Amino acid sequence: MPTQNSQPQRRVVVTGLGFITSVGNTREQVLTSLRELRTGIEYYPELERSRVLVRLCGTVKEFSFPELHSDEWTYPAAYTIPREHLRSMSPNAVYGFCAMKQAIAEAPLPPELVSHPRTGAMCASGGSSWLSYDYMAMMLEKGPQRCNPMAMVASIAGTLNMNFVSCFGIKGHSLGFSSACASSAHALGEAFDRIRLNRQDIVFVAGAEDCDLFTILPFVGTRALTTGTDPSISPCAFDVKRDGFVVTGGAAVLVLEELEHARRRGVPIQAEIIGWGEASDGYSVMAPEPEGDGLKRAMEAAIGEAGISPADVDYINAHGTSTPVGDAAEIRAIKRVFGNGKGPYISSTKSITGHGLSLAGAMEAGFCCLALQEGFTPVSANVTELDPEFGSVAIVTDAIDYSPRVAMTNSSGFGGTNVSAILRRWEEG
Amino acid sequence: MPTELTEEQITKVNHDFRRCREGTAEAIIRLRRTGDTALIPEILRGIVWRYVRPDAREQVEKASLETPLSTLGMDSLMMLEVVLDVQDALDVTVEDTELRRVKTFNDISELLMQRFTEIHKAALP
Repeated sequence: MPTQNSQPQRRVVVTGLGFITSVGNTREQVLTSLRELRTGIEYYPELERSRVLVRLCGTVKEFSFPELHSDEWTYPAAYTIPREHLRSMSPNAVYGFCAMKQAIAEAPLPPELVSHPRTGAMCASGGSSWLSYDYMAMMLEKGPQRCNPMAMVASIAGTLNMNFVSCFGIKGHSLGFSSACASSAHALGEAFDRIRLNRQDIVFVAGAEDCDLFTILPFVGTRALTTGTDPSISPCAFDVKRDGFVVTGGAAVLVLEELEHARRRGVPIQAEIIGWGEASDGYSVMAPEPEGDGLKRAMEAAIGEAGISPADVDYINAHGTSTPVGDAAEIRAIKRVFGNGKGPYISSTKSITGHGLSLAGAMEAGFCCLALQEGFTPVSANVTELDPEFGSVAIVTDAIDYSPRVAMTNSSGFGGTNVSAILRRWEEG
Repeated sequence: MPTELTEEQITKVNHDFRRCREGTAEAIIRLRRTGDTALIPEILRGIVWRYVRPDAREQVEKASLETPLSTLGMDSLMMLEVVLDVQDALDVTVEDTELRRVKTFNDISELLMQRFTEIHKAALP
């Protein structure tokens, strides 16, 4: 796709990553967990407060949010969040702040490039149901004038982008995305486009979610969660016994940068993003189209934009939430795109992290960067009896010695929205 | 108010104001018990102390009643945080129009004393 003035196509690379996830709060911890298949999922006692059978959560460690007032919140000692910023944050913005600090340090970006008209932030969080609920109760009881004036910016779905602009002095584009579990995948795609179209040089892509009872319970209502109690068994994407997902929260940040900009700075490049695609099912507000029609078209669009053929894709980090219908629709879509041969290796990292909802797309794109850079293929945990329908595709149920060169990451959300993005191992040239 | 407080109310005041300057929670409890509005300036100082940056706390200790609050590094949102706590401490509601006139400890102390007396006068000795 040539630009109007026939300049060469601008290329988009990843120069920084940050993770606050159930499987680790640093790059090293996340890498170890992915390589050694260490789960971040555990028994979550808070669930006993509600009459539900669900017991598991992909908990975020080293943080606590014991009460509404942010002065009581704790986070790892490596970070300092000034009070004037903390008071307007949600838990997901706190996670996001810490992931952002890691990504900035990795890139490494000096303050004048973080806060620059050509540097933007594309963010995704579902807001904070906990803060919304408690603050609204306070407003009704005592009146809005006696409630924290920051209640709204801390609670609503734009909390992540609004806080980032303020904390980090973002001067370029800033936007929030709300497409359910595809939100931060959309953020990634939009960031990619804005750099390609020469509207920005650097864009932070951030996904974040609270990780508490208020995040989990609405999904119990949808009957989408596993009632399994043992994280070495559940969730089990692609297994015949799969019965739903486990919720997680946290944050992931990617620094997307125009290639020549990164080269001029002389910084290490972690991976290249070569294309993305999106499509909707036009089918149901909640259930995926059974044949994965939207996801199929999203994958095809991504492959087309990347200018590669399906055979070039080595690994797919699947949406793979471990719901009976979701996994089936995705594998059917993959079969239709990649043919009936073995095709690319496929795994769901959600079987050790849990499903990060708005965070999932950014987190899993980050995992793909690690896999490409470090030369390994993540395993799909907890598969003891592969669904016979998936027998013909290459689901990675045990560790393999394979270094992928091209990785695809899929995300699907309520409303039948689907995003697929393709990343390539960085090889100078 | 003024009234004897229940154990539960005392625990709540001690909890809610534990991050304020030492003695603030005790002063709030005494105010509620006695209705002695002379305690209000020190309660206010104790709450302001909580919200300013740590390096400005010494200034808060030394500030006279005429010190403009802006010189203590307080922005409008910190001011609101202080007002929220003060309203809880005194169980009064301060109107926004009244707040806009507030510049110093003295301004807000007088306003609070007035509001406190109006609201609780029926119960005052």
